[in-house]
Amino acid sequence: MTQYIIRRLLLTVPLVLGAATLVFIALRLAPGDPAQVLLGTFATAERVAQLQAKFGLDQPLHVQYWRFLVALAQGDLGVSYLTRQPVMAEIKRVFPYSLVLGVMATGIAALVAIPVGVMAAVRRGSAWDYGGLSLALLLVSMPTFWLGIILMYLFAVGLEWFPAIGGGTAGDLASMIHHATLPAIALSGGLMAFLARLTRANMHDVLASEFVRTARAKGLAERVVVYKHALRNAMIPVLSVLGLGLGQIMGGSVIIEVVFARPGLGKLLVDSITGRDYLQAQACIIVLAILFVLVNLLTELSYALVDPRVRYQ
Amino acid sequence: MLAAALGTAACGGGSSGGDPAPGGSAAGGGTATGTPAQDGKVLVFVDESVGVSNIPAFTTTSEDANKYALIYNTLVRIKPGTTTEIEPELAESWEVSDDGLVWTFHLRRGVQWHRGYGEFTADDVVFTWDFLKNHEDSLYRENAAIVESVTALDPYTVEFRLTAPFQPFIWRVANILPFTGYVLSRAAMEDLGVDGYEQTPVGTGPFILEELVPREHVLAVANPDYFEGPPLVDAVKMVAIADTQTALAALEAGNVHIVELADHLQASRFEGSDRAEVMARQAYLLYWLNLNMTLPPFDDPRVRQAVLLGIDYQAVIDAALGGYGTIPHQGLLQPGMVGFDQAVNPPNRYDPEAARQLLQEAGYLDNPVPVTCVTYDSTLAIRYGEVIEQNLRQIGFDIDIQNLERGTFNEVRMAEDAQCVILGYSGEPEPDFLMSLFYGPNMPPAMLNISRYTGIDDLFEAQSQAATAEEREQLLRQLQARVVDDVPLVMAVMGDRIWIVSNRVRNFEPLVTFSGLLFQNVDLVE
Repeated sequence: MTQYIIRRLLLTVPLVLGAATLVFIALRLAPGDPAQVLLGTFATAERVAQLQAKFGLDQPLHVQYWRFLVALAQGDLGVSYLTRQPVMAEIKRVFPYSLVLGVMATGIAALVAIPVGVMAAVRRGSAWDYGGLSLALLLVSMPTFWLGIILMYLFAVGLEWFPAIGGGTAGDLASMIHHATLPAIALSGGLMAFLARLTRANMHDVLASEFVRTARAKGLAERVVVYKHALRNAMIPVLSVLGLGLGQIMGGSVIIEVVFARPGLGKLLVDSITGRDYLQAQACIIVLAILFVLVNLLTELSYALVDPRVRYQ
Repeated sequence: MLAAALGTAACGGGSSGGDPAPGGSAAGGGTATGTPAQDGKVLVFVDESVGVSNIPAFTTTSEDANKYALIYNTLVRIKPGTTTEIEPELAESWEVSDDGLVWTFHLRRGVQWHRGYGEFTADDVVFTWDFLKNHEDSLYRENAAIVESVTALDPYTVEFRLTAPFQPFIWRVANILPFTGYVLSRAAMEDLGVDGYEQTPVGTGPFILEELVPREHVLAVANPDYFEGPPLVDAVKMVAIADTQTALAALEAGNVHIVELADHLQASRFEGSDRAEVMARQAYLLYWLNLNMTLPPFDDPRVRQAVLLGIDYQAVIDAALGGYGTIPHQGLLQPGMVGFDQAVNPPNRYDPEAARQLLQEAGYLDNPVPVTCVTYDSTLAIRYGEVIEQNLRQIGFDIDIQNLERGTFNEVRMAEDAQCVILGYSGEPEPDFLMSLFYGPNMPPAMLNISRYTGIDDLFEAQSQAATAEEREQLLRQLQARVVDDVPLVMAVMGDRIWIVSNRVRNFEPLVTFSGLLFQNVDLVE
């Protein structure tokens, strides 16, 4: 298993390099220039050229790319054009906010979706089934930003239970959770709907399989059959989706981060791209690529926990 | 200079501060987490971003103005509530020599720098201008070039000697863009270095920068030793919120107290509200069409005139700004600006029949040349564009207004074949910069005279070197008349600035200019 993990981790190197190269090229192909964006609409051409030279953007593209690779090999992702601080410092600052949001949103989705999916499968055709499916349809149809604004007006403006904006005090988990609750609920909707349907479908297949019939024939209680035997077998695809969902929410929640004016990797990435802060955007992509690989690896390793037959070689 | 309310290029940022400076006691102390300031009266206002730099010489974005107004002072300032009235700030009085070349400022005594850097003196003014003129990263070297020398005659008297008479010079030492007026501390810069100063800026202003989180917020605590008396609140927090809906929800939830609207149509929600007040002020949120005079169809003055007469200015104000705007004047200068004269520069009028007639005479209606206008993609720019495009199509223009992403727009607008480029601008009462955008030598790619206009070059040069204010006004009058005749641009919109202010806030005076809000007299009640 250790060998498997090492091999998987080594695979991240070409993956990160590929992602970094793609983003390096894409950013520079996009029209617009960091110096111009930074200096503003009315900057003179002379000042723009001066700043381009300072950032090394006056060099040919292959020279810029080589410098980027050399720096990357040394673990140096550079300094933000905008903040003049190391780009990793900014990522380290916003990462906990994205992590809390991602874990909470996937957690809420799983806690609601899995029981609903199981109930719908066990009592197929019942009010549970139709109710669960209707809820899933409703959740998946609601635009996240709209749900976010509705939640904000209900629970932040109206009831004043949660703050309307911000990510909470860094390092204070209670404050961060308090601030992340509404955005996490808003984000969990789509994933929740998908997970509920997936759980229902898998559970339905598993419940029809022979070992379940055997378990029932042995006289096991229905609760034990469903939760101990059937659910564990139905969980592997659900775990995969949860893992992907976590990565996606951590890096791709820019809309909800804007709606709740909270820090996060997604917003940082989009801000960096619109501000043509090349180095910051590159660093965000590299971190997100590594994050996805790690989350996938953890997800795969967790398969063994729910299904002891899974072996890693 | 960027259009604050039209959306700006800089998406926020700055450098993080917060560490107590080596040179002295950082007032307020501690970090933003649970500081006494945060537990006390903290006035929170929303800005589009927290700006780019803590050193005024390094930025040209108007979002930095509010931050500078908290931290720094200038020799003189625009009297709040006025546009062109100047009042003393760090200088108590000033005089100009008869030849207009020597400006002498008598400075206030006993003003203290933040963080224990001692008393503000004339030497700090000398240092600031040396920094503006000579630091390699200074963005104002051209602006500062008019100053030949700055001399401290004694600790409380400073003399500027100009290379030529320059009537607008008083604005160079005032609290507006260009940010040449904000005075830096020589002692602090020598002690901290440029990077250190960027982290912990040292000013004489009513608030001391405590913390800056790039793209998110600035926290500044009250300066108990402020020379006009300590501020009434314990701290001011400036939060960057990009989404207007979010900002307004946060205001209703009590998380923020003052929001400047980037979307004027939202104001109606708060008209008559018992939670907050709508404060609208006529301002210079200008938006105009640069018509390239060297390319068809705008090389024909009749076609340019047709654009001028073909826009329903009131409809633009109503549809895009919810009525919060004023019909603009064509001659660049707007009411309240230095030298504005309504007699030669009347408000624009809408006359679609006359416009169509002009197009007919120019032969355009029979052989229409397709026109592409490019602009950026802010909420307001998109709404303005829709109305203007519809108006101009109605009179017979084959026109397409494209809203481009900022980076793309910055490139496309400089192209030689750009026929029509729409720019937005957060204007100042001193029109020197606005006029320079239509000065012959400032054509692309160096600058933004996209119209390729050369008609006011003589007057522009003469007015900036006029020896007296009267002489300058006379030249500005001629300049306005000439722009009205030549139509190198069409001034399309002049929007108000609107603030939504919580009913907990007292004594807030919105600014007509983009000088940075003044918070030293603002209070927060329960």
